[in-house]
Amino acid sequence: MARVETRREEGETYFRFADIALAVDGIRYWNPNTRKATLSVGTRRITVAEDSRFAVLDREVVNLRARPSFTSEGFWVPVGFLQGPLARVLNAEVVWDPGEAVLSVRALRPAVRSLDVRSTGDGTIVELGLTGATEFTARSRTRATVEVMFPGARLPDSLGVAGGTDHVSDVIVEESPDGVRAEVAVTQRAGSYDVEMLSDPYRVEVLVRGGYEPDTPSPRLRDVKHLLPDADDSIGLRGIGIETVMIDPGHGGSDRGSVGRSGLTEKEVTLSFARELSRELQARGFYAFMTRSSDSFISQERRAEIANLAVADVFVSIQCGAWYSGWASGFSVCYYEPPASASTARQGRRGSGLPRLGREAPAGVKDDLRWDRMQEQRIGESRALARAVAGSMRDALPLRSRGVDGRSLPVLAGCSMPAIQVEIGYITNRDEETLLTDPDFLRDVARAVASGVAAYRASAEESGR
Amino acid sequence: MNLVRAKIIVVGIAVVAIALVFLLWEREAAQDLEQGSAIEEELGRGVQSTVIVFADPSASRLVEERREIEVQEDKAMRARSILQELARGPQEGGAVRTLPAGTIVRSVVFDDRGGVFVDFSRELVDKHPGGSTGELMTIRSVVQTLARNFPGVEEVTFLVEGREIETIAGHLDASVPFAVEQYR
Repeated sequence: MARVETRREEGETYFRFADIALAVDGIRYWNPNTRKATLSVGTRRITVAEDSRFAVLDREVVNLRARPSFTSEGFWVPVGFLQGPLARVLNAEVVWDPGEAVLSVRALRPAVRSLDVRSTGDGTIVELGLTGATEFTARSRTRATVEVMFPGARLPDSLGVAGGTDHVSDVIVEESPDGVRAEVAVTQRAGSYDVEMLSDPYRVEVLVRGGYEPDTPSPRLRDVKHLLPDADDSIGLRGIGIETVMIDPGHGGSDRGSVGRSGLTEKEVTLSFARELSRELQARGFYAFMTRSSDSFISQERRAEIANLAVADVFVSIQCGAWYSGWASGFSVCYYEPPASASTARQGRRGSGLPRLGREAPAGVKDDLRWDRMQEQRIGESRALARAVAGSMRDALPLRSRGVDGRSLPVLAGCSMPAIQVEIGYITNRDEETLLTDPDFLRDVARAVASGVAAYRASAEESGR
Repeated sequence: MNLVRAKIIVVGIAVVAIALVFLLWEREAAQDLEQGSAIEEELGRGVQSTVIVFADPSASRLVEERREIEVQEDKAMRARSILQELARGPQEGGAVRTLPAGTIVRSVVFDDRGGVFVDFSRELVDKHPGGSTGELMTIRSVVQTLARNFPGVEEVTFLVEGREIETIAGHLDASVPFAVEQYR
């Protein structure tokens, strides 16, 4: 509860942004360039702009029904700010008493309101619907159950389960003095589980997968720890030669990538090509690793992370081309180029000015240490690598060369080593689709790419990097 | 008699315009309703010439097509109509579509700093053929269609169903605005 000062204008009550931030124990930012103000409460953010009726809550646009304004006494937001986005962030009712000029916040206890169990390609998802963001803990005390606790939550209705699946036999949701507890009983066929909170609508998803399937490093990756120099030197000493290549077969699992006319999927092509490339690189004296060695989904960020953790010296992302018309053909090689938008440059960070959960570095972290800006230090080397590989492919392959260019590819953004993306042919082109299923053709392309990487190694080592 | 008929038509158009504006308001998308000038200004009849930027069949370069659309005074509405033409696909040979069939341009918002926000329907991400080059051509065609018809546009942000997106088909970073300078 807080006594706050207000301002009336055109029948609308305005509150000082600074007072609200103080009242809810939030952190406020003001960007004089974009004239946007951000209030951050916990992990959530609300951004408002001067003279715009719309606020952005996390990534969602919310109508405030009146425009914030800036006066000599500060930045003012309308009452809609309190009742809309702020109430949602606090998961509470925000009440303004004009008589007493008092602002009070009544917390709403979050509730678990629905239960759904469904099978997916990867396993079974148990979805617990929530009325708002809430804390939760998950653990697996025995092999047979996964327990999810929502401390302080309530359970308005008893929730039943429709029936078991291959991996989940039963789900019990019950209210206790501590909150709500959900117990997911898993079957013998269950291998691993993941618990994740998602928003819009708020829910916690427990994904129970079938028998264990490694979604990351191929077994050999675990052996590369010895390649890591002593911890103290982990940044400085890399680069005594280029010996480790991380191959990243694009797409995988639920993400099929592009699909050809015959039904050939990009995820199959990239994986079989990656295997060929791995062989060809090893034949040229490289250690070759793959970000995935099976048909499984890996996020873009994770791909870069795997390469960084393995201290790879070169990263090669594999993709196919695709287009609306069957005429497009050929190969292209790309390196990373950061987005050039003015607002990005103005703010000196990633983002369009809209808040981006989970991607902001903690205060005090230098931009050049940000994981998603690693590649910016390596663009020159990556361009040289791209040119070497494209040159080698142009000389050796009967494919049309589409050239080398810079693109803002998130998969490369986090790589701390020279990194490229190769599009090895158009899956939407009838002839090239046939070629992409031909092991001999894939081997030829792999040879050309591997020779390109070797040529880059030779020139980099000659110039002492 | 003719005068009466003309009056009825003008009133009819005004009613439709007001209804449209109201519908958009209700959706609460980030519509730039502050301008609201469409309501007050008299709507002229006729067509205007616009440039729609498609791509060639080999996804190598952009192809311009001139097309006439009904005159719309409101800038955001005009931009929306122009992009809707882009979504409809080319009429002349030598060009192919750059947005998936069925894509709807839900709204367009201009800010006063050269930024444009374009809100597409789900088809943009669900039905895109994929490929990093393919995504690049889609972005270039939208960005250049806006830049050619609205001088002063510097950057374009893609939204899908009112929300920011990470990427269109998994390759290029769509979480930041696309600079006209970069997507030539």
